[in-house]
Amino acid sequence: MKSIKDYVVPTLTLFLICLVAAALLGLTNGVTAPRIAEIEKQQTQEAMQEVLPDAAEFGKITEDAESGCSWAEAKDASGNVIGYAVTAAGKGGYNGEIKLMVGINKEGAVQKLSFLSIDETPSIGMKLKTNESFLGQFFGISGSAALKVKGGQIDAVSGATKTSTGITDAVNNALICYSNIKGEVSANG
Amino acid sequence: MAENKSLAKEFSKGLIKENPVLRLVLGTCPTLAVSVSVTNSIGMGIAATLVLVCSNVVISLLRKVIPSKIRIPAYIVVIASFVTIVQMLVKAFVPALNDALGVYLPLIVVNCIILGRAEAFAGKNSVPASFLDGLGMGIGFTFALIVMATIREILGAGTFLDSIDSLTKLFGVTSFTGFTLLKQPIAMLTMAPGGFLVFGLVMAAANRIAEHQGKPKAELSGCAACPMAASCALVKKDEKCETAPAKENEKEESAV
Amino acid sequence: MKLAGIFLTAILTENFILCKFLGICPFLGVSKKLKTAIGMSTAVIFVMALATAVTFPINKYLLEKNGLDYLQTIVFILVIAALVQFVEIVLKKFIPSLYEALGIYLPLITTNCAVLGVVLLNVDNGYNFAESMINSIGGGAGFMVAMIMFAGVRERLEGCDIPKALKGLPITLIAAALVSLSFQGFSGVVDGIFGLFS
Repeated sequence: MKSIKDYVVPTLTLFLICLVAAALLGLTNGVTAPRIAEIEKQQTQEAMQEVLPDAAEFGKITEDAESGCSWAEAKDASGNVIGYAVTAAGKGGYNGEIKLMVGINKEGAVQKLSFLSIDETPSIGMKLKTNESFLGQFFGISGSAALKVKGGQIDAVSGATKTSTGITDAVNNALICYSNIKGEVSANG
Repeated sequence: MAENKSLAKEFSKGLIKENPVLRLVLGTCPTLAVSVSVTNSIGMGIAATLVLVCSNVVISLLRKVIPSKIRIPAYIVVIASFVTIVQMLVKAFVPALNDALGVYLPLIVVNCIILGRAEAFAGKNSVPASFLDGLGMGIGFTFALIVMATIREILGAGTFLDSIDSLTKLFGVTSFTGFTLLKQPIAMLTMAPGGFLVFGLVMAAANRIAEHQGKPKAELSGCAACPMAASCALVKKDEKCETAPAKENEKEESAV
Repeated sequence: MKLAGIFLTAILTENFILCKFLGICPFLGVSKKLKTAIGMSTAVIFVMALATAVTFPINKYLLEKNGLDYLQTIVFILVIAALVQFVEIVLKKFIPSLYEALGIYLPLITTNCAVLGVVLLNVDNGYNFAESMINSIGGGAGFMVAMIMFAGVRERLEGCDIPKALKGLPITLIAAALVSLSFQGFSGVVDGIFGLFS
């Protein structure tokens, strides 16, 4: 009898603690989740506006599972499609993925970039966020983007090769996404 | 009152004398990773302190109820719950900090400081004492982080309190975003090697100060202070983790 | 080839200890002798792989499917703790030789950043099962490489004349800084050989 009690009491206690913990977590989640979603939505909206400033409204955000990015149509005040706001992520950075919002106009050329999530080395990597001469290289590019060392058009910033690689990869993924969008749109007539 | 005096001591010991990072050598992983920016350090410190205090209090409250056999898993559940709650709060109110801390925020769960204090203190002491112990240790942790981060940020990135507005935003202050001090910083200090280097030098300085006060150096007595010491076969076999003097562990039968 | 890229990245360019600072405690504590270093790192590879194999399906089919993402941390750490405990008991009873070799390090790894870290990183990076396994095994292998190298360095340090203030932990950390610095040199290697992203 004693040996069974030895097992049952601890197990029950642990189970109870887990239950209370799970309930508490569920509660907190219920409270914070809407707010988190709200913040994300707001950040996305702001980023979309930043990369396509001429847009008056944005369509629904669609996910492209194949390339791992999401996009939204941008229309001007008269309802014409002027471009696409594409969220894409790039690998190869110093510290995890770099997420960008890329504004692509209707000719398929990159218009502007906005950083959604980047956590590189504060000294050099992060400074690329405001490095106009580096970022400027992407404007007007269409089709694909790659670093010069890989046969592409982009000059990496010396000392921040990894961050440059990550950003370039993100833009490239955005462009791949765009070609998928184009394929879809023309397939749908 | 004698009790008040000893309670105050529980708080202050975590600040300098038994600073978790510089004296007890606990919580080294997040220290090295997060001490790149003072703002992140403050953020991490606050998050960790919050978890530490909350879990210490709850564990102390439940100390008579939790059977010894399952105390480690029970502590883990409590700590993990608070970490998740803090994670959700950070995501909801200071999202920039969530990006910056990345995977180290959930890793607070396995921060030896928290599990270590739960096992070594909260599981055996009263709630007020545990509360103060947690607070002191948490602030000590934050203090050590800030010391390292100040060095690494100023010399490595050339800024100080960069992006502090992500934290002060909570109080409605967004105008101040830190100083820029150096134009050509030593970038390596913000990367991995720099972390080890600065930690080593700060530790050396801390040891020097300790010696002047006649106290022993900080050894990786991490093994004895490590929460798993009771069940770690290395310690049992007398094959110590480091050259630390073997501490007498409580003869409590742990989960195995 | 992407898998090979992930594997090499985990060992060289994003080494878990020397770049990501995961698993510092065992790294500093157990790397003094080569024998314990090898034993410890084998245990780490073993636990990382096992933890990933078990937590991946739990995450994919239980948590993510039901929108219970926020329970990841707590579920992962409990699973890992239970798993390691279980493995230790099994090893002790059925394969005592293996227990002698690596079982004794198991409790040290349970609550260590390294294992929980790799499991969380796999989720963060959105890896599928194969990629997660490779990342974990690679991470463990990287752990082993770093440990063995460092054990070698520390054995040399034994006979050196070290300034008083730096004796003990500080000089160990500075040595780690130098080893970490050498690993930084691998940055371009993986990229050059495989291309980090196919």
